[in-house]
Amino acid sequence: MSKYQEIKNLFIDTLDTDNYVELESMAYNYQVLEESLDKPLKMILLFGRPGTGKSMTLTRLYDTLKDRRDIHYFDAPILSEKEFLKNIYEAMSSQSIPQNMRVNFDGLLKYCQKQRGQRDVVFLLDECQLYSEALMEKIRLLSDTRVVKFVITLHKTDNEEVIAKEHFKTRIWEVIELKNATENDLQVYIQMKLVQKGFVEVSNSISKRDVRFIHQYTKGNFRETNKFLYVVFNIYEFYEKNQPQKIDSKKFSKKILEMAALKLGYLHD
Amino acid sequence: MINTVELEKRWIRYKTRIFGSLFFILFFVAAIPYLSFYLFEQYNLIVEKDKNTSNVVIVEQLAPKIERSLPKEINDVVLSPSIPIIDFTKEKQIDREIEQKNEKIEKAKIQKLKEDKRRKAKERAYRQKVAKRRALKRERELAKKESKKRKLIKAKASSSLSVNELKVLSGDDIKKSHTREPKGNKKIDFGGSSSNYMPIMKRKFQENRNPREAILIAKAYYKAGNYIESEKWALTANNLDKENRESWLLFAESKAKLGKRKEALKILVSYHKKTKSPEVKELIDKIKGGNF
Repeated sequence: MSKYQEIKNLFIDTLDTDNYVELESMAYNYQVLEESLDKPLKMILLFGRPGTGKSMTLTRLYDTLKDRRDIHYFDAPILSEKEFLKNIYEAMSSQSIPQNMRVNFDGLLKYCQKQRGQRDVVFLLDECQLYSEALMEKIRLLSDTRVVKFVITLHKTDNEEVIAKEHFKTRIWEVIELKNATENDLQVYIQMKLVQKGFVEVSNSISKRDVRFIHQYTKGNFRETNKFLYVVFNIYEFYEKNQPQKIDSKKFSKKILEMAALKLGYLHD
Repeated sequence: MINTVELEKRWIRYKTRIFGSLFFILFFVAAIPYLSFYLFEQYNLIVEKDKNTSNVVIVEQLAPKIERSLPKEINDVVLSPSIPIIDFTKEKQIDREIEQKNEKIEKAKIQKLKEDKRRKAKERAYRQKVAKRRALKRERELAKKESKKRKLIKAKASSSLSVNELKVLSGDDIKKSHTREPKGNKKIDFGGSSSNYMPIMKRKFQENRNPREAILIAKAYYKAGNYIESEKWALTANNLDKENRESWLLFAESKAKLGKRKEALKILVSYHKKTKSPEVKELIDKIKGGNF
């Protein structure tokens, strides 16, 4: 695998915690989240714009605590109520339910109530904006048993306030908002990503001006930045293989940055 | 792997557009001072042209004939100074023509001035003549007046000596007078040396409106027996001076002589009531007694 192919793969949008870059702001949010789990909270809301690292935070939290706590992560939203209740029960009881059977919600509530004071189960639910109101109501009732604790993520949308008010107003005791990275955060993020994998030379070639250019179009959104840099290093990879004389290893190419921006539709010819 | 060939083409297009707009902006910014300078220059040129035109106008005002006679070449040279082609022979000719015309104008002016001088001299001479004539006239008039005055003084002497004259007329001193007829209470002879006495007195009265002159005339007429005229003149004198006693007496006497005794008595009685004059009383008695 060529150098730039490797670098390119670093910026594929995955939830690989090995590539996780802990920025200062993200470290703070993670700490708050972890501490909140030890508090007698029913629900913890993690919200922010798409690509701000919500899923990554949940993944990291799960990976960190899975060996220490009774924690379960639903990375994809389960839209069917039957399926959702089945998954909850299976996670709690560690028993699989036969295909032709279903979980009764009242029975599940009773099951939880019986275990009050004995267990503290944490469920991490990603993309909760996709759940139906009826299902959200059931999640609320389950959290009321104080046996099950939910950490849910929501996209920061225009109706976020409505969701918060209607379903979680009285139950969410901790709200953590994830924001886009600043110019400095983004520089740290890119450089850390590269340095972690030993691409120090490439990391040093990226100037503040280049980061400003990237930030100008991605607005510090991690998903967008990853996408941008993936295209950049894709072009680098092409030149590396076909026209290596066009690559200056000491200076990051402005031309390639602009080409990537054109490719992604940030710029227009 | 991404195909960069198409992407590079797009990038070139993008750069061309960006540099094109940048170049345009820079060109525009750089052109501003030049443009403003050019405009400023243009403005100056306009001002100069204006000045030129105004000069032309002034020349036209001062000497319209010369301007009209200027040939086209001159105008061309003035209006298009960028073309330095000048026909010197023509210019000289034009200059000569202009000089000749100027000379003519000057000659005409000199002639006009001379004519003016002559005219003024004539006028002066005429005025002097007229003045002399007038002076002579005045002298003559003065002389005439003096002669008249002398004559008038003679008349005045006769009139100013009215008391003596009256004495003569009243007949009191006829006998004493050596110049007049020594004897007899005769009437004044108006056709004699004092034939122009009455007209002079009348003119004098008209000039002065003096009641004394009117009384003298009335007395003269009374003595001459012309009682109608004496009554009239006595009344004239009385109208001018109501207090004059002689006018009352002469008026009454004239009336009495004309046969109007009653009227004469009435006048005298009314006057006597006012003045209580003994002289009037005496006359009243005379008329009443039929002695008048």
